[in-house]
Amino acid sequence: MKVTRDQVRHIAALARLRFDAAEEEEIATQMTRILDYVEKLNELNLEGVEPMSHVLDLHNVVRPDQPHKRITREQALSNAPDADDVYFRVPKVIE
Amino acid sequence: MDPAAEKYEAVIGLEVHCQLNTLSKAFSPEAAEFGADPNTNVDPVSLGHPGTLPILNDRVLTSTILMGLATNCRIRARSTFARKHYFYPDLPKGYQISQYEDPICHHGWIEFDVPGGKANTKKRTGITRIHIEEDAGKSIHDQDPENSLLDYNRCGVPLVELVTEPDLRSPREAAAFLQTIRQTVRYLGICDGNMEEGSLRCDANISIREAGDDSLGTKTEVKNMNSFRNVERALDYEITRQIELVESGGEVVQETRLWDAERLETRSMRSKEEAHDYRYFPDPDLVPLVVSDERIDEIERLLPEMPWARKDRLMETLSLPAYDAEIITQERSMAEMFDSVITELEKAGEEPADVSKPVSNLLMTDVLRTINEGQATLDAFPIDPVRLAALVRLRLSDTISSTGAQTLFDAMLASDHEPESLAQEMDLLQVSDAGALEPIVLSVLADSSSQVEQYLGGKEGLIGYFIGQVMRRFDGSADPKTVRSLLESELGKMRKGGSD
Repeated sequence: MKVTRDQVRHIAALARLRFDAAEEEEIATQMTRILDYVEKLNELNLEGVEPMSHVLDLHNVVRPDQPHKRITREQALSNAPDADDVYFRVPKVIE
Repeated sequence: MDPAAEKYEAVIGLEVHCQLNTLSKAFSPEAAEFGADPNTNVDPVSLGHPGTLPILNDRVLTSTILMGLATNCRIRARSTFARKHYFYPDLPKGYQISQYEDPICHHGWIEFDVPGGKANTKKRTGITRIHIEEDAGKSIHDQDPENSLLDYNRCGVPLVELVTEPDLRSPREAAAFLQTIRQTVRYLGICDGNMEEGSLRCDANISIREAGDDSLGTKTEVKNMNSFRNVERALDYEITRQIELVESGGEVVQETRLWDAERLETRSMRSKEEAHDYRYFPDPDLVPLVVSDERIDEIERLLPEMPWARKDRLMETLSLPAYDAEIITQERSMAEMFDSVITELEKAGEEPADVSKPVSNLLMTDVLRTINEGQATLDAFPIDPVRLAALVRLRLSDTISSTGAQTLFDAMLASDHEPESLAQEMDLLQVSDAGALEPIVLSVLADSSSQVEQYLGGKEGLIGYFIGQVMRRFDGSADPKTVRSLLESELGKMRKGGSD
């Protein structure tokens, strides 16, 4: 399956990324190669095999509903690119 | 309705989000409480820090299955979590944890009454799915001219999303459905159902088609309707808009429209159009959920008697009028208070069906008045069912008058004394002993010879005058029923004496 530059641009836009023409070409080639590799699975007869949603053979990892504070506001805000003493700050988002 | 509008019918499906009232968040352990100081209930998981792992809050699973069982859903034995991707500052991870292909509950239905609809006809609406997801943070755009501010306290708070089939046919039905969902989550105790505060939210998909047509028209999605009233108004507006559009030769465009409650109109929200590629995929951080039959049985035992079943029971076994049954079952705590008072009266030897109406009167007037005036809440009502039952009995036996009962009720709110001793202290007991009443009855009749003459001459309305006179001599504390029967028997004797 051949990935086109248009598809690369679409996926990049969804991920908020931008590439120049050469990069787009290169990524299209790489993504084509990845898909071709995964295509190999189609050589097997997979009828009746459920898609695997998780690699671990685990289910129902849960915790009880007990509130527990692990960080303070000060700690939370200290990692923000921009903040005041109370809020995280981002460039104005206008709906 | 204008004639063009009658040609069409509306097809409506709802998406309802209920914020679960768990103590901690859906996938991380910080508190989920409403109204805390901004950014004090946050955690590396909900802030989307690299290397953190979400772990499901078990109560979220219980609450969601409860909701599914209450709405006749099938519960999936195995379901998974998915990531729904979009970029917005209120979502630090860049994706919302949700469920996609295998929601935990599916294929349910709920029945409800539509106000103004045909009597005794329930509307049934299919429930496509109910799934678990997480809430986003809150953006504040109007405090800082240069920036938007973010409060992530709500980020990661558990939600259940319920999606209906396109079974609703009018804004009124949609509002009635939503009321039923609110009542359901409140009965289950999983969400407070407050639309104004956003713990219950509703979006609608709506299209029109010519009545009798089976195909579906192009739909619009209406958002931002934050009250039951607004849901009805917004959908009314949208139906009229779509009909006018089609009638004038136009076409409905599939789009998201926001309800503006100030200007009373829906407006296109163009910015969302391009972004509708959520790239759902299974969340590798969360392992599948497996729900055993034993777990479902265990949760089923937590199901309370639901309002519709209670209402039928009150009408059928206790002969309560439909109107009373509706009001009494509105809230679970009210319905439980009613049942407890009836149980107490039954223990005291009363026949439940005979006392159900007086009990419902007491609850619908004095109790509800107290709640509505903000003097008390139903969950911590100062008068327990034992004392309420005792109050009902004092009134039923005419030991106190109806005004006396109200005075006593108000006094009971502030005192934990037994109603009988309180009535005694407050001098509210009625004199209903014939021996004490008779001399006064006779003296009143002796003092009112001209009225007695008129009464015997046919002016029987004067009985009220005599009752009033007797009551006055008792300062109102005589039982008017006994007084009336004593007067009638004395006057009867006089009539006989006269005609002999």
